[in-house]
Amino acid sequence: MIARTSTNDNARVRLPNGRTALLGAAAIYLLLAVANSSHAGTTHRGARDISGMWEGFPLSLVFDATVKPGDPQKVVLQPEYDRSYKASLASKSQSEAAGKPAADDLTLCMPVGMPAAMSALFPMEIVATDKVVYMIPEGVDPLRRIYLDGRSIPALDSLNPTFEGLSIGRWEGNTLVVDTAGVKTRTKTEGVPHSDAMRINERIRLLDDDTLEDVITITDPIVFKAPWVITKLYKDYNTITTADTPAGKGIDPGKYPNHGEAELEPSEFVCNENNRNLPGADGIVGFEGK
Amino acid sequence: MNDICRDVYLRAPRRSVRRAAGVAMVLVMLSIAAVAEAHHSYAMFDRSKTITLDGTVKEFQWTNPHAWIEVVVESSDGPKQYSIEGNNPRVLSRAGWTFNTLKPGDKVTIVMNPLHDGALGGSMVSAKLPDGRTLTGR
Repeated sequence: MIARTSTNDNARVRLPNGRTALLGAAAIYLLLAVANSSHAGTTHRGARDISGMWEGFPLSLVFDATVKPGDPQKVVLQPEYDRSYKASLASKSQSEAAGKPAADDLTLCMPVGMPAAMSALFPMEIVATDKVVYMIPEGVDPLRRIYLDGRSIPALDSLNPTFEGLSIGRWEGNTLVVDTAGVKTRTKTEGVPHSDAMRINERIRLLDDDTLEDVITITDPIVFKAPWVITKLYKDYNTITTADTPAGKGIDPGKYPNHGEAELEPSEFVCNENNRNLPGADGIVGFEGK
Repeated sequence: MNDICRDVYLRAPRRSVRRAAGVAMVLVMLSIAAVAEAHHSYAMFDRSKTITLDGTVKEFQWTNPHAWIEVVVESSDGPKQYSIEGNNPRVLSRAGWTFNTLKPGDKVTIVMNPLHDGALGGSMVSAKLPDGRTLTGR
């Protein structure tokens, strides 16, 4: 709008032939209007501006949203690991059906670790700088840092195991390519085991202003037979309005203006503040360990 | 659903994108209604049953990982205290809840899915507040 006005004014002032000036101004106005309308709503962000609040889409209890709860993950494991994974899956399914779910790390308010930390089941804030991309998940996982300073992943015997691992990134065009290693073996994304040699490759890019994609390829030379590939999508948390959520279904945003179309801020989530879902001596989750 | 929603987002103009996305999101959300209960398995609750409690708030805990309402219900056996688990404050905020929505002494009507183990408590489906509003609990 500012461009249109100034273009018109400038054209009238500077060009000596009034008719030509008006025609020229009209042509420029039209060009700008067309450019403006086709531009609207498509690129508010820079192509590498992945900063913001993101939520997994579709929101799914399972890290790979294409897998139904209780079904095996789309990963091919070496036979001995496959046996133990399938056995744990069957055991979990049995206890759930009996109404006696066992506690997992999330229930205990422990981090789920990489790659599960990228679920954004609870929203995740990303702050992208030139040297470090910070991923701040609301929920149980700690801050994840992706270093863009050109360092490399050290040899395994000098890599300190952590929940999120060590992540090194680089931009390839408008795709942030991230390699991660050094994830603690206690973490099990959807119950899938891994060794300390697990590596995670991510290709993160904006599909549009509101949509972020992370193509995650997990390899493990000891536990996996083939790479495990999961594509995660995220939506800008503020494009999901209250009325779209199950919690907000049917509410009138006008009646609750602070909880309608208002910008949503990151929340403080201290999981151990009041975790009343601790398991009892039998490992079964209930209220107050009963 | 994943591919459908993605296509909608990529192809449609922005205003209808949001509308279509909203519809898609509602469908997705409804199809996985238990998603919001992310901190623990939902299997501890009997989702085939709903129980309605008329009671008095003893305590409203606006906390993570879940908000809780301790509510006292009069019965022929005397007063009974129920622990009602709601979602976390962020999710509840989106449904209109605030940290001071309830206070001790408030009369409420709570619909819940009870615990399988028979303990006095459950997962809050909704709550009717003293001001007449009914808010979703998860």
